[in-house]
Amino acid sequence: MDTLIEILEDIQPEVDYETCEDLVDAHHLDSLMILSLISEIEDEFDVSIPTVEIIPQNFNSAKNLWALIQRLQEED
Amino acid sequence: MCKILKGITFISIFVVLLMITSYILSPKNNDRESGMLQPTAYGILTEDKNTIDTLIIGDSESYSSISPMQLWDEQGYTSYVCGTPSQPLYQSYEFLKTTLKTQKPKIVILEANALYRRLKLNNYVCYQAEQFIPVLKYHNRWKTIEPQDFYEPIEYTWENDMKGFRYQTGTKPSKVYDYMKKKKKEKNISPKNLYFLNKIRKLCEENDIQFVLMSVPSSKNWNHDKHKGVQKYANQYNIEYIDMNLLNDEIGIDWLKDTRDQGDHVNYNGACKVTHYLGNYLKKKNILTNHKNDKNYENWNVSLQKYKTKVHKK
Amino acid sequence: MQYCEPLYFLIFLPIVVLIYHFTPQKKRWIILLIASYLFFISLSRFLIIYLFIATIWIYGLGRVIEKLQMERNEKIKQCERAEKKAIKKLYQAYQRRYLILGVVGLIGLLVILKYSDFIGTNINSLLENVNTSIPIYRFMVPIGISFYTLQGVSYLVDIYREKIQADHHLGRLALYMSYFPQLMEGPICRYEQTAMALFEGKDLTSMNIRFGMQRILYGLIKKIVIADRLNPFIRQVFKDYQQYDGGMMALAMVCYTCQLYMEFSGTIDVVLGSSQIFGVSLPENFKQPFFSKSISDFWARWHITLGTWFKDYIYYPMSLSKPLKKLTKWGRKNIGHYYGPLLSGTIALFCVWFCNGIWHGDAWNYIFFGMYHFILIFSANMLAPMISKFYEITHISKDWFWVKVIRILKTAFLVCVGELFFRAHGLKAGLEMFSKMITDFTFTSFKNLTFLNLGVDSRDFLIVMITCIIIFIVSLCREKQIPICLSIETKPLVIRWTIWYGLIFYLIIFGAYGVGYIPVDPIYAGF
Repeated sequence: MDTLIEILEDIQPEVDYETCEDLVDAHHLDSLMILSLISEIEDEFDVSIPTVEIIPQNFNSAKNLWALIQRLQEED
Repeated sequence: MCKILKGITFISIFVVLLMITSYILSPKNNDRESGMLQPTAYGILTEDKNTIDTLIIGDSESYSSISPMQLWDEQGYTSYVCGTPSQPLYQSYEFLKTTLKTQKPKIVILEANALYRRLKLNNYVCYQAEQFIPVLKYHNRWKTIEPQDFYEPIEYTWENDMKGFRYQTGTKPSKVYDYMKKKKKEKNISPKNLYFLNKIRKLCEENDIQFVLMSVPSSKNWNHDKHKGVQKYANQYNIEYIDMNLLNDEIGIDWLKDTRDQGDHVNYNGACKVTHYLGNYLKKKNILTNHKNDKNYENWNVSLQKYKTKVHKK
Repeated sequence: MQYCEPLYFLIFLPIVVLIYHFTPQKKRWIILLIASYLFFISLSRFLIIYLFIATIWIYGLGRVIEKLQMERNEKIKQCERAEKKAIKKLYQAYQRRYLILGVVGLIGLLVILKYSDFIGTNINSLLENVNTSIPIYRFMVPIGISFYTLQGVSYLVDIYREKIQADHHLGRLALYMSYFPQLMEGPICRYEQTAMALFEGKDLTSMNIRFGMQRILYGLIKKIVIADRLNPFIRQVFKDYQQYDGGMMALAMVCYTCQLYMEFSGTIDVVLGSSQIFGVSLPENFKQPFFSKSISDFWARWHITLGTWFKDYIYYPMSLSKPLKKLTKWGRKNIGHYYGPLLSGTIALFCVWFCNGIWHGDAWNYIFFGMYHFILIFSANMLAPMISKFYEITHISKDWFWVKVIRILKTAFLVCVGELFFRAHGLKAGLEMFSKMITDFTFTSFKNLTFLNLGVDSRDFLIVMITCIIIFIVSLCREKQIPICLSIETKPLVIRWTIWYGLIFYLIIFGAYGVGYIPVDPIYAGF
């Protein structure tokens, strides 16, 4: 989880990721940031994020994103 | 119960408001300056009771081609053109109904170009709404509203010396001569148009009016397919149909001189020829009265003088 | 029949609502479907056959893909862990084949019907040098094809992605494809957003009816008071632009942008309001676009459903495809963490904007319009690190009021320029108008008042401005998330009724309709 927040802060430092629940809906993360985020996550956690999972719900908070990563790791 | 009562109250207040705004925004007279829409056609409202013997309805073709003042001058017949731009048949029908409230015409002539106009249901809905709720028709008068609009009574006094004719000069020649070339096809009148045409025809029958279909010369709008379609209808109901497009030579239409917009409409020159022909046609029917020397029609001679100065001045 | 015509909102819609109300709940979807088909037929007559084909096409292929998925799941249950991956892969390949067939079929039909003329003409102009030509076919294009095709594609892709299950009920799917409020101008919905709600046949509630009617009224005011009133001026200037100076170009550009927004968002208000009466909330298509602070922000607020469609079905799939992922990896190693992903992102972005441009119509100025926005967003992305440095060094905050205002005005200006090309009669005219605006900018036309002689007089402009201010205030409230509709609800009866009467008579008196007015054709229905 800490690694994830580090990655997020690297990409968009202006947000408090512990509390923010609307990263996508409030336009804190734009599509380009999501692209870099995905490639960072895929490198770091050795998962592959399919396009189906790229929905606002999964990216709206660090918590949801972490849940997604764990789910993908388990499935593999 | 409370809800129904509320609904009724809401609608009643709404209706009252519609009536008030309709009154305020309605033109207080029937001339253009007072904000009347299509005043030349609605001038018929101020004609003396039961004086108009021939009513002509139709679109721009009608008011460009037929000059009632010339008919008066040449034959002593009284007529009026209730023509408006792109007039759809339901409006022609409405004009006929309005006219019958104050007039007893012996002949009603419908210009046939409107029979092939595409009628849109939405426009019909809007038109009917406008008939019932004047504010929908005259809403645009908010731009020119004046204090007296709030209290003056509505009184139509303006008399149209042109009797619906629109004086238009200028020449843009047409180079299409063979537009009436015979073809095998015929263009059928669409069901919607047929519906209103039948209504007009029946209304004429009920009032003992002779109903006549007429096509004035227009090389742009008319062709032989349309001619055949109208002729078929006329034969079916035993109505007279004059197609002047087949009589261009007899009438003397010169497409190089007699049109103002490349064959779409005739200009004043052409209108004189068309009206002259129509006058002779009506004379042969022998059902109209020459009122030329009738004292009750003195105002027509006054109008004629005004008409002549207007036409000859230019 | 169009949404902003009395025939629709005074006759068609009330009749449908009444019949709907008196039909048993389970059969209500049939009423909606019949109404939708009647609506379609009133506009495109026998071309409804294309809609039938598309519906049956996605129904069949959806079922096939689902069947493959079930087969796969069966096999996976029975086999060893080691084989599972192989089976998954195999079935994915099968599924993909049918998905591609389905999507190519839908898009192919759209391309043939809508673009064969454009493609043919351009090929012929290339072939001119070798003195040959190919025959060009022109087809009649059914209404709403650009919208329902995209809905069909999203349906198939979502099944493939296992986000939704294939629909076994042909009627429900047909209703999803043809639902009359959204048929002509969107919003582009997803299956999971609307299909079930449409099929449910919810009871009418007085709250839904009131809110729906309010929304319709608000939309009609936007369309009939503003968009239609500005029409003669815009038509005249864009038609005979050679006759006017640069100041007029600028005015026409702003007026057109205003007209386009009022026309499109107004119609969408009518659409969403109509749908709300049936208790079906369609996705919003606009979110106060003229409060955007950047072009990419603008596109997240303008025609939202089209933007998210492109994002979900073109942008992400492309930029996350294998070759582009490799490119991203390489880029991050060699040109840094920011510019690395930008590489593949830009390629995908280019495709999105090319598609966006061509989706709007088969002409070069639409493609130019797409490319214009692509370049704006691309350069904003390229400059982003420098701009944030600039803010850092100068200690200016992005969120200061005047900084925000400047950013909003800048974005609005860039959008207006784009719409100038969008509206111009061809690309050449657009370029000429733009250069005229820059090189020949004078205030002469304003001083000698020629701009008031083109069918829109000073009182017209005044009423347009007043209405725009009202709409601006409403938008500002929405932006600040002040619920206006709800706060009206709590007011005493007299105030509520006054507001209702006020809105209705505002529309009746100041609407630009009747003798002497020609309403704008629905701009987005042509796409």
